[in-house]
Amino acid sequence: MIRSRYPGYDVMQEADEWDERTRAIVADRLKSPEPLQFFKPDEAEVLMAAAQVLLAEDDEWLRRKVVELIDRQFDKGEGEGYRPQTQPKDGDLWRAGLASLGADRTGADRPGAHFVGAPPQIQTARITALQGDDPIFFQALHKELLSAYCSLPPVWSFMGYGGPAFPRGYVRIELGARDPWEAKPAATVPALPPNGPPLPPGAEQVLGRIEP
Amino acid sequence: MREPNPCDVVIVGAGAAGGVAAARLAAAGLSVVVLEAGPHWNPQKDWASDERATANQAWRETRLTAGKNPLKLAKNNSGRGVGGGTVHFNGVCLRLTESDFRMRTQDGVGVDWPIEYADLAPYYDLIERETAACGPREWPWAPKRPPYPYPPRDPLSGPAQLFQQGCERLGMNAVPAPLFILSAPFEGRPACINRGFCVQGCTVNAKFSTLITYIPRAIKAGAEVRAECQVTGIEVGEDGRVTGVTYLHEGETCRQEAAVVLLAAFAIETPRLLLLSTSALFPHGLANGSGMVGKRLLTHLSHDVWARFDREVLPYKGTPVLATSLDCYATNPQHDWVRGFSLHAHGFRPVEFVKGIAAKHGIWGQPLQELLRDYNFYTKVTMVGEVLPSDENRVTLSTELDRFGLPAPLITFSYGENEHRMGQGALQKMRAIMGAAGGQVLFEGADTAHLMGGCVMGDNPATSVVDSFGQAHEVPNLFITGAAIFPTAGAANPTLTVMALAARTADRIIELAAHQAL
Repeated sequence: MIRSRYPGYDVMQEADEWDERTRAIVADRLKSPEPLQFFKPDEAEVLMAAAQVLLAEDDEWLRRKVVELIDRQFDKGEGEGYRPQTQPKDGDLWRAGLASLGADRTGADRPGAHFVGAPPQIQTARITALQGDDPIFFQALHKELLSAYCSLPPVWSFMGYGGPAFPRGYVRIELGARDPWEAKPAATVPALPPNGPPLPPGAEQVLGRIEP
Repeated sequence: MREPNPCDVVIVGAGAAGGVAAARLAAAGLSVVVLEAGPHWNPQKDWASDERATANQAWRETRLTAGKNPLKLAKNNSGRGVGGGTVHFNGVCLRLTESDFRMRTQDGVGVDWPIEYADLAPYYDLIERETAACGPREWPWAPKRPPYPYPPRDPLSGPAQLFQQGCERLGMNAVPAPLFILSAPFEGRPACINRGFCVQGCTVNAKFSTLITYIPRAIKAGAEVRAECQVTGIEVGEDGRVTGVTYLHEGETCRQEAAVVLLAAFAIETPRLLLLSTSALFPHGLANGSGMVGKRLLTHLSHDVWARFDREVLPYKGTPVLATSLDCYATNPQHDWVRGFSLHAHGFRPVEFVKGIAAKHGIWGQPLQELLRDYNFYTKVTMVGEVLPSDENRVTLSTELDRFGLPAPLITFSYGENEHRMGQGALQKMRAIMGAAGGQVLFEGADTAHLMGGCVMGDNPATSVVDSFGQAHEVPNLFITGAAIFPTAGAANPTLTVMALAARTADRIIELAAHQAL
């Protein structure tokens, strides 16, 4: 785990200031994980392992909540909204993708070393391979893991995000201003890398789509 | 089959266009029924200040996408429920400019509108007044315009201030964004509290939506708004006039007879409904003798540039869009593209941030954690760029059936050469603005926003579906209004124009009804 710029900040300390409905929705994300409805146990295990690699999140409890949030979404069956014509339906895409990843024995160093039980560096290599081999499933998996993860209050606290803020709102919104209850950065803030990373390879790929 | 009493006008869709039209028609004394596929929302009970809990505000039925650049739909551009897209739009209130109405004449591309800016100007004035739109005291761009009814938003957020600083250092004009969001109380609604969840539905009631303004006004004037009613077809009599619509409500088939049918169901469901409504008189779909129904679907280029600063920006605070520049709006002979784009500062909450950067760029593992750690140091600039009309970009019917047993729509979209060039030019401009503000551009990505077209207006019945008032060329008592009738996209957020067109269509129906000419 890397260090937060806002050590000790807990977004939930302000929950009493939130409207009842928002508070209930967010509090639900901190309750003990419930049994899954959509994913079967072996699918959930693959998802848990993939979440550890993709999110670099060592806290198993947080990963369980991520999987639970995605599970609820599929279980609610609110509809896909849209899907590329050539792509399988959402549920089918996930079931096939998880089955294939779970059965993947690429680089297995011993009999039965499937994805779930493989050592971290092998799992990382397999996720890297998935990104190139099955980009449609990888992107769906990656996006849903990210969205669920960044809906969890401990992640909000890590980021220094102020949270729902209704009905109170934000009063001091300009650069350099902060409402008294917002996250305060550590006295010794870990410095930003002076020049930052160059545009990652993915960036060019996205822009490649709009090249003539 | 349930058959409620006949009415003067049945409106399909209770969004930006349907809401405005319903209020105006009902106030004129016409009996109005509005049919809306989604629920009748209660902002304080149904919504939350949370990104994940509000996905159901988008159109959820499956739509299929195709083409070289398949569109992102659902939350990106399609509303569901009373209020439609106004429930989850960012509230930017921009007019089209004079040149938007005469692109063919001026730039030799696309088509001219059958109306001029001057035809819509009184309706722009009206809608801005009725919604107490706020905006800058000085407007640095053409055409000259009256002052905004309400003063500009103050204070501005970190993302807006950095955008303005960058523009200023490059010698560009930037202003506090003109918004459908209250800068002071109006008609019992409070000013914005900068909670930041415009796109998740405003629980404060500071952001305008037709749900909390025009729809209640319509109901007060006698209109009936029926939610959870999925319209499945438009009925035609032997004389070629429409007689009403069929719809499903809680599994029951219903029929609403009406003297006039007004479609305000946005750029996908409107053409889809016409294509579904085939008959002996209209074998290729209602009002589709020209073959233009579904064609010329339009969107906007909406590429993003993300920059990181060495100071906190706190991008979650405030209305997301609080500063705007139209300096690149018009055709510039020095560019290798025609037409142009508007630019906007843009704040974001955690899910939008991580989807916009990490999901798009395939960032995971340790680099993902580093990105999240630096969240508060990022800001974003986005664009609304004109996409030129093309008959190849269109809505058709697919072979896949939806849960009502109707063919799901297939949406085909590809960028043209001009869009590729404009996109690159706009990215360059956005990078320059962020750089001038002292930021480091680390990520950028392609995106789209808004939908328009699909049932375009025009004077020539061979190349358009409706006239400038939205009256179908082939069916005198069938009207279409809102985004679907835009012949070109412009480079401004479309909602104000959608509402202005809807008010104009309503006035036409009122006028024709008064003269028994329908």
